[in-house]
Amino acid sequence: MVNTRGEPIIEFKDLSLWYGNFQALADINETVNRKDCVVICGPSGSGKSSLLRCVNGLEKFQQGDVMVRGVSVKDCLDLAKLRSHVGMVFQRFELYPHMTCLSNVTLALRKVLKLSKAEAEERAKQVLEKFGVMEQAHKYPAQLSGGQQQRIAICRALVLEPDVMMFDEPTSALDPEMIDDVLQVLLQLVKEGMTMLIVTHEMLFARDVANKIVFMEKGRIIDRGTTEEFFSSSRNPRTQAFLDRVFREKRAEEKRWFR
Amino acid sequence: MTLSQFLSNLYALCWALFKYNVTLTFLAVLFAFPIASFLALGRLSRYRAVRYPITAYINIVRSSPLLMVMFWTYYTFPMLLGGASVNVFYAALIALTAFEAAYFAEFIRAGLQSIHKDQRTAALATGLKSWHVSLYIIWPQAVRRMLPSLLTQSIIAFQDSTLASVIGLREVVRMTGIINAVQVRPIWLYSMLAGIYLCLCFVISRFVRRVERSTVDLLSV
Amino acid sequence: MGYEIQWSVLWELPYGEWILEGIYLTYQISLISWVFALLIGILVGMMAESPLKPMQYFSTGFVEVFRNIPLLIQLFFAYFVIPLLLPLHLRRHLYEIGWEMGSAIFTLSLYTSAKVAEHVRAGLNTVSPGIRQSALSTGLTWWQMQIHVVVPLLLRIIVPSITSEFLTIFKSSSLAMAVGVVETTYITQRIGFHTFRWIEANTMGTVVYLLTAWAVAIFMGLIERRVRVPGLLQREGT
Repeated sequence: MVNTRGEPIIEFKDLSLWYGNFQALADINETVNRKDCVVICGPSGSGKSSLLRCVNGLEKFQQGDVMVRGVSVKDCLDLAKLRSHVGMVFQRFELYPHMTCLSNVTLALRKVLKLSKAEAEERAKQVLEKFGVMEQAHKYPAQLSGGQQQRIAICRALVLEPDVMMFDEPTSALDPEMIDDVLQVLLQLVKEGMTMLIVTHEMLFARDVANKIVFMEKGRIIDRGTTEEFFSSSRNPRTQAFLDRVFREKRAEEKRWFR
Repeated sequence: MTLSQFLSNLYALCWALFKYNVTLTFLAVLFAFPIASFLALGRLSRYRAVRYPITAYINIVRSSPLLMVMFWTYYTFPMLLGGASVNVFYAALIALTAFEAAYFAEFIRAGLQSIHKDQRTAALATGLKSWHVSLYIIWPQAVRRMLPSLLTQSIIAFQDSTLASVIGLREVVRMTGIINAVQVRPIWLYSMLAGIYLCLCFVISRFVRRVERSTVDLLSV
Repeated sequence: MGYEIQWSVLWELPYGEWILEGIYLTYQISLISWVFALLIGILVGMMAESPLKPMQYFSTGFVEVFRNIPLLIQLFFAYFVIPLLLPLHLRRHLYEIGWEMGSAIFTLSLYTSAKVAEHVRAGLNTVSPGIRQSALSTGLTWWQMQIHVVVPLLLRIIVPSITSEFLTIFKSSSLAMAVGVVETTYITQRIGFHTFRWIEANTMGTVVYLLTAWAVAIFMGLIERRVRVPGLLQREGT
């Protein structure tokens, strides 16, 4: 039984997505409740990123539906408004290169929430301060390290005070030294009670932070469960093979490193 | 315009096109390439005495309108050399060749410079002589890289060949004017002229784009 | 040879006056066409972004037509044919305002705008889809994303490529002499015919174009430096 902590924020109902003839997602059914931290894992090409993009309507799915706080994405008339309640962080940060970091964060506040420049900057600075990137506020993204850029990207999404934060492999494009910085930020968000949906390969992190794990392969969910269930008592052979491989690689890496 | 008139006009235009514009372009490109290679190498030379004049030539020609270059070769230079009258076709050919050579030279230079220095170093390290390396390793790769730009520039040269009409060559644009003087059907005639070039260049540039795509795949190293 | 170079021809009246008039017309044609070319070109290029298929086709078609037909032919078409397509009172109006200049500016604007549109489309492809997605994911509407994220980025990206178009427009303005505009190239030949001082006249013309090219390059270089964003590099695929 999955531990529910609150009302459903995201509900996937028989969701299916095709790119031409290729089926990227097939019959996805899942619920993300308030204060949940759901980690989606699985091999490349399993549709994890597509799944996230269906939630805020960046990807147009053909069958089924996604409900965000009870609002159907398929029938949604104002996608922009819906998106302001769903924060998304991308693998390659995707900051606007021609704007300072502060402007990156305040743009949506000014244009979507219609705050004044002063109010927007006030709110932005608070969030930037909280995650230790206030010093970089007036620099341009290209002048920052990957870890700093990703933290700015998280601030950019967070500053709109969304109901849920989605992360699409937030640390995959980072150098190893910086992965930890970003994971610390995620940890802090979870502790503060933010509902999170994270696609990641960092299984050790997932074990510490998630309360529900979903394993996808070839567009389908083939295993799911609470963190304990998933890591220790899953009977699914594919899950076991996946976990085996992940931990074997980790151990091999440690062996090489500590030779 | 009756159908037979249309067809005979079309024939006349195409005849002028192939006799002058196509030949002009073809010969100009043919001669420009070796000249441009020489210019490109000169541009990359260590010796200032070589590099400066060649760079000056390239920059001056590239800043000038083709029409001015044609006036140089048709009116000015002949006057200097004793005032003999020059064959329009040759004047246009020399002008177009000299003009395109300057543009080709820049593309060739870019192509040569895009080959990583280490290619030469690695090849020399295996014991190959310097000219061997240039001929078998550097140039083949460089040519593949510069091919799209050179082809595109050749199409531009084909379009620029129409400028020879201004100095009096009886090429396709002039021919259109001549036919128009007799038949007075400017809308038809100039539309035909535009249409011929539109179809030809469209087809050729599609072809060039396909060549571009296949050379890019070759070079995903 | 027996030819002595005599530069003074260039500033004797009336030749000096002719030269100045010629340069004035060259700049007039080039700069006016450039402004139109930018406005139209960016507009048409951005149509390729539009989700509406007809707009995409128009954008492609526009570029193909004006790219493949030589400039001279476009110029003659504009000069000879367009007045005939218009009703009589408009036709007369065209000739009154001087359709030589008008057709030159008209043609050059459209031709260059097609080139600009091409650069704009290439620039749009450089803007990674991830940036558009991240902008939309914060709740910006499609229009807001275009205006605040895509267009500013695009304009900075295309500065180097449209510099070459700006340079070309001055050279292409020389074609206007084929329909009778008394611009720089025409003037050099006119002086040559009058004084037989061909070398001086042609050198003067070449120098004018050379200095213009230099000035444009410096000007665009300044602009490029001003709008350059630290570390803005084109991503080559992802």
